[in-house]
Amino acid sequence: MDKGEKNIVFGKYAAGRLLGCGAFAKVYSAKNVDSGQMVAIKVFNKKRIIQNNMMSNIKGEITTMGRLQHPNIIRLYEVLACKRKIYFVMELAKGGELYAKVTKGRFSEELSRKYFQQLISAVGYCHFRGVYHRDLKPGNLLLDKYGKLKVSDFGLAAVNDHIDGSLQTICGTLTFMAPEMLKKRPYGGAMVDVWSCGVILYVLAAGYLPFNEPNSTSMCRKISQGDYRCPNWMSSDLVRLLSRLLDTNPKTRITIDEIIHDPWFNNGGLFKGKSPEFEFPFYHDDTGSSSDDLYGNFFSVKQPCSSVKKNTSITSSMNAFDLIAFSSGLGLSRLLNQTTYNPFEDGEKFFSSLPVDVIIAKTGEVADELKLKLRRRKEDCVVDLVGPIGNFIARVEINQVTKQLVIVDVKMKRGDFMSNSNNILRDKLIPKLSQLIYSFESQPTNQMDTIHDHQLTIAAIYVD
Amino acid sequence: MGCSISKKSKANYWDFASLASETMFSLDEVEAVYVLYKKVSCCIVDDGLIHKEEFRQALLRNKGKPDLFVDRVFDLFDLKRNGVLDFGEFVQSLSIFHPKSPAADKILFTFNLYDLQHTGCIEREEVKEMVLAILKESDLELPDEVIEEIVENAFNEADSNQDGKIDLEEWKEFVGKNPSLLKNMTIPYLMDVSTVFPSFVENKIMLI
Repeated sequence: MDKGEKNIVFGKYAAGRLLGCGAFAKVYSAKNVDSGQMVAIKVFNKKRIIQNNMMSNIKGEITTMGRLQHPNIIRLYEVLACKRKIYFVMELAKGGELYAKVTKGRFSEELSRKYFQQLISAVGYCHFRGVYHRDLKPGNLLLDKYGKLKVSDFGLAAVNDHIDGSLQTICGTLTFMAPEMLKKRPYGGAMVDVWSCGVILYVLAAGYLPFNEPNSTSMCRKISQGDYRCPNWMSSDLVRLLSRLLDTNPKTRITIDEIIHDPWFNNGGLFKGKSPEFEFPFYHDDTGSSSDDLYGNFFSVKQPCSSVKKNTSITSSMNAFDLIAFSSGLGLSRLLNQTTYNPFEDGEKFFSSLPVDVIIAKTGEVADELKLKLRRRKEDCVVDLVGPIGNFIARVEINQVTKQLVIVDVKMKRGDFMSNSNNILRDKLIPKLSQLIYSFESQPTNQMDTIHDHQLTIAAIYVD
Repeated sequence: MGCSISKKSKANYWDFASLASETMFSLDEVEAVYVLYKKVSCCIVDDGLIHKEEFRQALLRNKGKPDLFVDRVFDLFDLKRNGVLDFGEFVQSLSIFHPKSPAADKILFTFNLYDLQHTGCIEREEVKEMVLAILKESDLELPDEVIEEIVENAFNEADSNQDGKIDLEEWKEFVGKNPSLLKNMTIPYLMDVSTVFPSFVENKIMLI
């Protein structure tokens, strides 16, 4: 690859200066010729990738990375390929590496917290989608021109394993590795990332590494034992949080959910998700809203449904074809969605003959029990269950099918992989709501005939 | 120095450029769809064609068992009616699901989809058959009277001339009132299909 200002990649990007260089990849700054937007282009040598059997890894991870959209994660805009090279066109972080700033001196706890909150926001967002970094370190933490944190290489774990592993000294990589990784035991990506976040927080606040030994044997020992010391200027809240992050036992190590509720993280309650510079967009229902928007385009003029709904009844009704459209056989998105693990894609559906407000009230009781909040959506028949920081947990949607019957659709949009709450739907919510389920077999039909003057033979298991 | 893009189409005989001009896909997207096509077409028999079993497996991951809806979609994709999908059929049919595709195409596709017997109309029995299929798929059970009522309600709404059948004009009107019926006719991911399935097709040579 030659140097120069006038190289045009695929007639679209004018390559600029070299920003970084690794064993497999080089990163250049570049400019989109049409829009003028500045980007970073990571150029991989295809031959070396094929030699290392990394092609399928790269393809799979591009899929994941392409879907991550978060203010603190470097965006992947486009992937291009030619005979010899693969080009990742990515967001350019103009502020450089966060590490460069730390080497000039440790940060105040205030500033450390600001960066740590952004880091946790990004990491939590990815974990919620089942994506783990596995190689978090200051080198992957970049800043944009406003000083906002940008995590790079998310979703590229397998690629980085090969690329950086062969590049760096063993000690350099070890520094941020969790004890369970050193022991070569099977490890959970989420807890490994939490450990690395702990090491990063330590570096930000202390200005030096928690584990730093001249040889890898003693390094491994220190990490495995969690043998580090906090400098005496650190506040006790920070020391406590670090001890929870750098817990050598992954089973008792703090989770992302718990970090969010930590007093140091919250700055003694001052934060509470209200900070203007910082928000928690972990659980953005991005696929749902985008598809709504796209589909809204076709009918932006008419918008017939909303007006009809309000005039006729509280509940939106669902006709035979709406039911048919539930079929997973018609969900062609699955063709493109194979790599994303989404256990709750279809949710659970059941019929109920109870009135809508009874079902919503019951859902409210379940929410109270689970310490969740009920958030009514604009549509009258849709309620969301949200966690303490407004994080989306599940959606309950009620639609009238016949005069007496509604269909209740309980959906968890994404599996929550970072804590036990991924079982909330299956283990708690659905069994509790199942008390509402309509079942026409469970009660003698003759009894019901007398109750309803209608031809329906519906029996409902009432809760009270 | 500079850039030169030359075409080497030895790997495939499909003219991606003309497929792009005939569909909603850009050239990059056609290449990306080709990657998807190759993946699906080799999942059971690696003959470069998508068989019905492969299509079922890709959509339902159920080892290719028959399914009313998947099989209907396959039959509609099979424009040449020869029992297999080639890449041209796949791109053209998938293009209907592109977010930029006109709603009229999507409406027509759903109409043909639900007209199980190809009579040019959607009939009661067809709707009932599909409702039964979806209930079975969702492990839900309803008494026959309720199912009849559900079908009846749909016809009361959709069959405006009350002749017991839904024709294309009635269907257009009905979908106009119930736009949610087209929701699954759009695959939002097709907008960024080139990121999801980056094309590694070697027909671009770059000199830098």
